[in-house]
Amino acid sequence: MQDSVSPTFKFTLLSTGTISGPRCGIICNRENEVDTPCILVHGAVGIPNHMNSELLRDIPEVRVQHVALADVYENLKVIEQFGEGFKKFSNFPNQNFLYLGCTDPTFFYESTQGSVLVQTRSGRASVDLSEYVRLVEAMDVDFYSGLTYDVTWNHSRKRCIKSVQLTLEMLDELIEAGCKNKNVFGVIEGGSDRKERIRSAQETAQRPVVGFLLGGFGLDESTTQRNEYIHLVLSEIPPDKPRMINGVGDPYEVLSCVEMGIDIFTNSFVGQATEQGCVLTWNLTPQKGKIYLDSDKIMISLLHTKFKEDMSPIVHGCGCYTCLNHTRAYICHLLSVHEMLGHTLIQIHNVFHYTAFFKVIRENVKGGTFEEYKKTFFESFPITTF
Amino acid sequence: HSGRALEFELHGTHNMARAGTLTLPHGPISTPVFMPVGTQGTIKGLTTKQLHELGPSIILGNTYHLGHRPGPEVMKNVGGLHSFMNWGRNLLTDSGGFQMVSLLKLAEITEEGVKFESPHDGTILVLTPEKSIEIQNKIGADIIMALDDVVHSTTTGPRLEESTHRTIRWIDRCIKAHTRPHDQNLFGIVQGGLDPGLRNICLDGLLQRDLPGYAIGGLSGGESKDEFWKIVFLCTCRLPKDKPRYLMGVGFPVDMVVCVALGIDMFDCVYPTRTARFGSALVPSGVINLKHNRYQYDFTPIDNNCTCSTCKNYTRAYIHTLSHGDELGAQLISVHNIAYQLGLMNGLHQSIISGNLEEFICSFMEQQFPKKDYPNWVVDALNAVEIKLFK
Ligand SMILES: [Zn+2]
Ligand SMILES: [Zn+2]
Repeated sequence: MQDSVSPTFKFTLLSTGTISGPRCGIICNRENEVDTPCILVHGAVGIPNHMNSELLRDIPEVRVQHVALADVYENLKVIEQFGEGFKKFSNFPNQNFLYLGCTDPTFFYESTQGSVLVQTRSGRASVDLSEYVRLVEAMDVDFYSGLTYDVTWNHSRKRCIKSVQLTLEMLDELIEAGCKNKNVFGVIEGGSDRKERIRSAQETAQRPVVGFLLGGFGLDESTTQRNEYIHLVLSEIPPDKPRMINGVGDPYEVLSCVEMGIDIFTNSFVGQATEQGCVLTWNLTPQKGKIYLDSDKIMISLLHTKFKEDMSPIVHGCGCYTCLNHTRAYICHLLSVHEMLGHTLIQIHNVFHYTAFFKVIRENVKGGTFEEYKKTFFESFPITTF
Repeated sequence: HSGRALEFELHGTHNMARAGTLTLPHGPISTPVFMPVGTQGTIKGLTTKQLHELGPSIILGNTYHLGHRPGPEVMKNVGGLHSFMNWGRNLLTDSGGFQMVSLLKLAEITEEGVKFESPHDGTILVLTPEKSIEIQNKIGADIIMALDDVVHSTTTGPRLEESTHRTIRWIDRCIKAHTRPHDQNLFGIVQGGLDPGLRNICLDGLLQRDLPGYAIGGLSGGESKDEFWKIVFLCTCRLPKDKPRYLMGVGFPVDMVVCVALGIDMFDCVYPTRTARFGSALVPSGVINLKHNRYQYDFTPIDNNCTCSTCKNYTRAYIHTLSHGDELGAQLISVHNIAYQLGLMNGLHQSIISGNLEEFICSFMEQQFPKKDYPNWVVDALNAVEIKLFK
């Protein structure tokens, strides 16, 4: 094992943000900084699917990589024996932050009583808390989530109480386990039960956590419900610590969440678009009053044969590898013949576009123009066309 | 560029083996050369950037697949395959006939061409020599292949005779149909199965046509290795010294090393990328399968002496964690395997020039067969060109 010095984690809110509204911040570890609001990129091995770490290096806005417990659990002993951390093991860019999440943004697993279940490649496994601690240390992650007990939104009050109780108990055990890495995000659960959500937020806030993860979103709740519960939870936790949300990802949702004061996002929005052959095309800086055409929709599917001779890039002016080198026609062909490269090329563009979107959001928050930006965005791209 | 579509310069020889530079419209190629196969306009999973870094100076596209999707009209309208896939180096396309006969159940060969049932709508279509060349002219590769009458390598008797003579008749139709000889090189394919007499008849016919290069077809299809190398040798002894010789579909490292010694300049094979998808990596000692549990805690690269990006950045243990059918694992191994093949060709090129071919081959074979239990055909084939594995 390496000489384990606990990784540092510091979150600084920039004064330009507002406490209860959109805000910008900086997360620091020993050597590097990440600006918030930001998106964690996720894929089966901490790299968006169909990409590799070399391709990821070319996207400067990718700064935090999310590895899901289910995807590394089986390799605990290998990572321990390797001894130089998961970033080195997987050839991740050194300056990137590494986040280990108990939940997988792509799948929802409901845990049974008292244990955390994960779906590994060789089947379901029940994760032991001590194994989780070993994983956090061996991977040398920058920050990680507590273990959680997720429930869907249609569960009884009894299940909601239990979800909060077990999640808190697991957090306490995790803290008591004496993990050298203290950079844990407490997970707020409680499903659709207001009282339990408040209790979960208040209790978690009393623990020595470095941030909060709003769990159990992006499941079967309505937008109104979601916004209501996010407000409810955010008003119960201290403003000086970062707030992460799991499972919320389309650009409208992102803008709404930033408006409420969310700092970190992790979701499967980009991955799902890519799997469907869709490319993200929305104009990152829409202008007030301008009419945006069909091709400026939020996303388009390159599976459509109308692109088969289209020699233009996915998005004119996009600086990603795909747009600088390849055409819609070529990608349309690759997708139609099921060549891996098709998905690789659209994934590169999608990750580039989505992370660039967060950069624009930060600029608008810093410049005090976020409300206007959000309004123009919703007017330019009515939700009905999405 | 002198205006000719092909120049071939030899820098050194060792008995039958040759090291040279083949210059095509999209740049020079050091020979002997291994050409990775990009069936549908991509080498499985690799970006053109990764491919550029790997460094092949020529890759293959398959006319059957590209003619089917996106189709010749799209190919023409987008300015050919180079522009379509943004590949600035050389390309070679096959005629489409071989794939048709091997992929389509109902394909039947007549004097007119390869008759087949459309996999879309069941209509009967014919790939004629003219049609094959027309499609290849639209794809625009630097080397295009004549349509030949493909038979299984172990076919004998009247059908084999017919295929040999028909291949010669079709070459004239191909030459006549070819509209871009100034920037596309039409290679003829020597057929004739395992029958030396028929191979000679085919060679006679093709050599009279004075084509820019020649391929040896109809091998690597189930014949014995003994028959295989003898036919290769027969052909290389007769093919002109000043033109490139391409052995189609051969890509196992041992086979390529022997055939370079016998005088072959060009190879293509899906083997390095296909085997990568099953977790197999090519190393000097042969093949290792990274799915195997023995690599679970192996924190060394696939090959310590390899300079490819996979070996520079990843361990066997990491690739092992990806080996459950993960495409990233396949991609990392593909990069290494292509690098291995290109490195092997480069080693052969250098050793021919510096006069060390025999030492190079002896050391290569010793690593592959540490007990020196060399297959007889390897010993015999190398003996034929005065390379002795046993001193
Ligand atoms: Zn792009
Ligand atoms: Zn390598």
